[in-house]
Amino acid sequence: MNGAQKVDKRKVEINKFSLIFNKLGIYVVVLLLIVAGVILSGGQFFSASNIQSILEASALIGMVSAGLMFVVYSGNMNDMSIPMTMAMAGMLTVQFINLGFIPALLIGIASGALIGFINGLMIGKFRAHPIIWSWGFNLLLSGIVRVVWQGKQLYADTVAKPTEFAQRAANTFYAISRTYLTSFISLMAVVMIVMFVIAWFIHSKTSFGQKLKIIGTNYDVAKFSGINCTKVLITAYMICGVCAATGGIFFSALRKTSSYENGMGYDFSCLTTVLLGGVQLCGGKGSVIGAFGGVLAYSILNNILSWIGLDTYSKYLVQGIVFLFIVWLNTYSNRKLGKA
Amino acid sequence: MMKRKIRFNLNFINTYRCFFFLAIILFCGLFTKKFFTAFNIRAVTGNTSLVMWLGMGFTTCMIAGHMDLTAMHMSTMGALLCLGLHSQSGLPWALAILVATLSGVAIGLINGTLATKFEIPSFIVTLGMQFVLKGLMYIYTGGAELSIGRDYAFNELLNSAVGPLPFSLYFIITTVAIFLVWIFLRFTRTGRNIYMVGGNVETAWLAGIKSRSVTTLAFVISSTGCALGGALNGIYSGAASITMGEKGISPLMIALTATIIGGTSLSGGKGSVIWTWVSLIAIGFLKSLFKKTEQQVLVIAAILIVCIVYETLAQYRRSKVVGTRPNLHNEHMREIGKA
Amino acid sequence: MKKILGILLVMAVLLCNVALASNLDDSKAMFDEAVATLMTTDNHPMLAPGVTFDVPEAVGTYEELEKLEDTNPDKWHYYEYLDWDTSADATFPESPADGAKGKHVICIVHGAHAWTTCYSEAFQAACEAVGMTCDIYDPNWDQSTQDGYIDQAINEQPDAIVLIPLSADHAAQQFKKITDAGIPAFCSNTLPEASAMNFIRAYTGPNDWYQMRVLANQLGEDLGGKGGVAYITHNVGGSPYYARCFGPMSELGSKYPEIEHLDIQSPGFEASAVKQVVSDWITKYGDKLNAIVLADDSDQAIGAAEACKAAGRDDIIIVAAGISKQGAELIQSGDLSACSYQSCQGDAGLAVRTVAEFFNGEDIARVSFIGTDIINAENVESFLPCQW
Repeated sequence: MNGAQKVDKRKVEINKFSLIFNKLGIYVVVLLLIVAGVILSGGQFFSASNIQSILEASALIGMVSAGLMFVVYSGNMNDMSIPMTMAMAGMLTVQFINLGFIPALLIGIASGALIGFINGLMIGKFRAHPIIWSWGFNLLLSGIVRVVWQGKQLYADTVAKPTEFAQRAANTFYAISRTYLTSFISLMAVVMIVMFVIAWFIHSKTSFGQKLKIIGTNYDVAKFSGINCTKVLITAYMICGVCAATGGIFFSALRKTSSYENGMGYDFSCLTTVLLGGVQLCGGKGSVIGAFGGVLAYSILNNILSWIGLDTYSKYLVQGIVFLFIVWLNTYSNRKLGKA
Repeated sequence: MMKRKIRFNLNFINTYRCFFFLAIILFCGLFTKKFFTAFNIRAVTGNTSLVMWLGMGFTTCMIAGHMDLTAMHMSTMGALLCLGLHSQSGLPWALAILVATLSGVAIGLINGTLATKFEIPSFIVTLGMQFVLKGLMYIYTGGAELSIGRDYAFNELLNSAVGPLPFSLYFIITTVAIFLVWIFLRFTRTGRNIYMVGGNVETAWLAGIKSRSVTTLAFVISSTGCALGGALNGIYSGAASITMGEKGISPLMIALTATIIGGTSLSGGKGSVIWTWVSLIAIGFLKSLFKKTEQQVLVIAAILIVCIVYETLAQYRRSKVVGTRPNLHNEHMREIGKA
Repeated sequence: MKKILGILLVMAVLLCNVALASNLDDSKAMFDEAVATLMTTDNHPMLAPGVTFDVPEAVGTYEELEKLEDTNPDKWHYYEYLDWDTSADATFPESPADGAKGKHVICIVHGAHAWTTCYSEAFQAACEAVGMTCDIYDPNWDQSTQDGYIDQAINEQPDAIVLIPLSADHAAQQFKKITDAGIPAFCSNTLPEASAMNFIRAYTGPNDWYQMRVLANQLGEDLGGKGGVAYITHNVGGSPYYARCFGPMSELGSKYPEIEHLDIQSPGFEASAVKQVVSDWITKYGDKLNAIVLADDSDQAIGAAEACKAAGRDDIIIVAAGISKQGAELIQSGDLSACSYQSCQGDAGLAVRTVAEFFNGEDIARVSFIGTDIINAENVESFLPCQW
């Protein structure tokens, strides 16, 4: 209608490399890293203690990443309020330890759900800028935690009353990060894997996961096709909040203390793992299995870096460059596949 | 008619809310002991100057529709380079500051290229660059702090008051630089292009603006400003270390707060570095009203959240009305007898 | 008329003198009583007198010493001792010598932490006991905020300022500002760089190097003079970084040359990060790793102990600096073999003691340290309950 039709001269065939990266994704990287690890460590890589060390290191990041994956998948880039969600959950669990271990745990997790609900309401319903809102909200939460607890650290066994019931609750709280199911598989790693299985079920077997995919791909299309975007996004953020809260509780149990600085830096490292796992920044693409691979790759990479004997500072540089490279690959392969 | 007038006034207050914010803070200062002493004013404005550079950079990027999270690490890197080159390699101050500033230009170019040519969201690029910069700084300094040593002359000059004014030279330099950036953004063709690109990239591109280079320019302005400001701040405060601003309220967070309080649009295309500058002065005085860091964090965070919520709700209401024609709708309702 | 005025004037001066003298006497009485009665929570005197150490001759200049091996104790002379050039001292404000009672002190700490809370509370209690009032500013680990608070403190014009500098190198600038404003400046806890002492009336704090050397000696004995030691450090660049890593390293290096120094890592203060580093060490070095020296006995010790326990390596000896609640628990459970005793409330007490002595017109040492001890499973009971 608008005159002569234009001939599209752009390359039609899809870049092979991008395709492989997209399909097999992160597990190729994991395999390569394992091979590198075996060579560098001289065969000690598969020793029980090293595998355990990798699983341990990935447990906390994995728990948080399982939830963050839904936020990234919904096209909202990152949840910057993860650090304070973790800290807040740890603080509340310790503060209410007198009620018994299970109620305290539930209160901690509920706080994460509440934070997720507020995030989801502001971002899902009122369309606040996801980064700026969650960043500002993180600052507000840190202000609240600091004013309420005066910047102090909380110890579960001093907060607990000297009754046997409360002390037992405190001891249970400390024990959750130190329980080993078999000789070398810790409870934390098992919880992390269970959370990924649940996340995988929610993501690929429920209608919620399908709706989230449409929202992540195109918010307006989803809205006009009659999906209740507000509800779906609130659910996504609540899952993220609950996962971050669980991670935060395990974190403060491992540390034996809760303070406002628990969880600092987790927003960045978890985003790295999720993106590493092939979840697209612009949303609507990626899988839970991939995200799990990302978590593995991240912790194997850290493991290998300490095998090489790299000092702590050069690790920052390597992490930053790996992050930038992965993100570039992510967007590049996306463009070549004609999505963005 | 009356209704219209009130609405106009509300808009006026909203647009210039940073000035009202400053006025309220200064009014509260009347009831605080030793608030309006020359020493206090000089100290507060001087100590806020670093954040003013960051705010200037952050706002410029925000106007172009991007976010620059490297601002804080960039300023630390500027300070470390400047102090290191002067006290360890023995370069004169001018050369050291120049090298530090050039490093800012380089990082700004990298940021801009990654964000425009490689089409990675700027938030993610700068998040990753933060860690690259941190690693580079560790490699340069080995983790140690750097100081001006016993060379106090330039430091005292920056700290000293200018003539009879209760302001330090550092603050004056900062203010002049920010006004220059404001003039550039507001009254030059290239500066206006940054606003255009921020408002709508595609429209700007269709209008013949090289949107990529203009965006890159915004990043370069931001990084250069931060590096220069950081270098001067290193001399002003006497020392710098890598962990600067990582604990407590990070300067970047304050820069973001001031940008939003100042009324710069979150989606770009609207705003002014002067508004950010005024908000930062207000935040500086606000901090000196409270003696506890916890209270400072809470108050600043509360103001930030109120501003974000207000902006978001306003946008939400506007988007509800977009596409509907209220007068037609009302007519229709009247016709069917429901109004 | 003139006569009467004269008499009145003389009387007024006399009265003033009496008032001053009585204030001084009151202050001294209060001070003595406070020293005798005020106790820390683990039942040691809070206002105990400080300990001074002699500064040995340096073997060379700073640049010459930098070229020595890390394990050579001579290398660390300028890090360990406040060996400053006294001829460049600034002119300090004179002591009013009219008693500490009624004086106002501002204390600027470094940041919110359980240690700081304990320090601040002890500082306030000690100030109250000797009759001074105090304000505590908490900059939350932020350098520029601390600078801001110093300006605010000077603006308030108190009788003295006690500062825990956030960084050693920055300290010279900060103290110069305070001393230039005519306020006596006291430095507490963190060791400043030596040249900052030109602007500091007196430094009080723990002797990190000394206590780590004592700890290292015990570790050397426990190891029987051979084996492999790995180090986890404090935040890189601060004075505890050098003291708690190179202090024991140089001591072991000079006294037990057969001990091998395997690795130095700075994973920070996160238990999981430390755990990962130690697990990697255990896999990498195997039986060569016999001991670990930590810069912190709370989070770092938990991480290291967990890693050793998970790998079934009970034989690895872990020693750490500091004394926190977690550390004492780990010593009781046998996971941590020893740690140094660094009294937090005693630190605050010594600072207040020095300031009070300054106002009482007594001579004060420019550098004094708090007493120290080594805690192990046998004597841990006498250090409980922990201060923080």
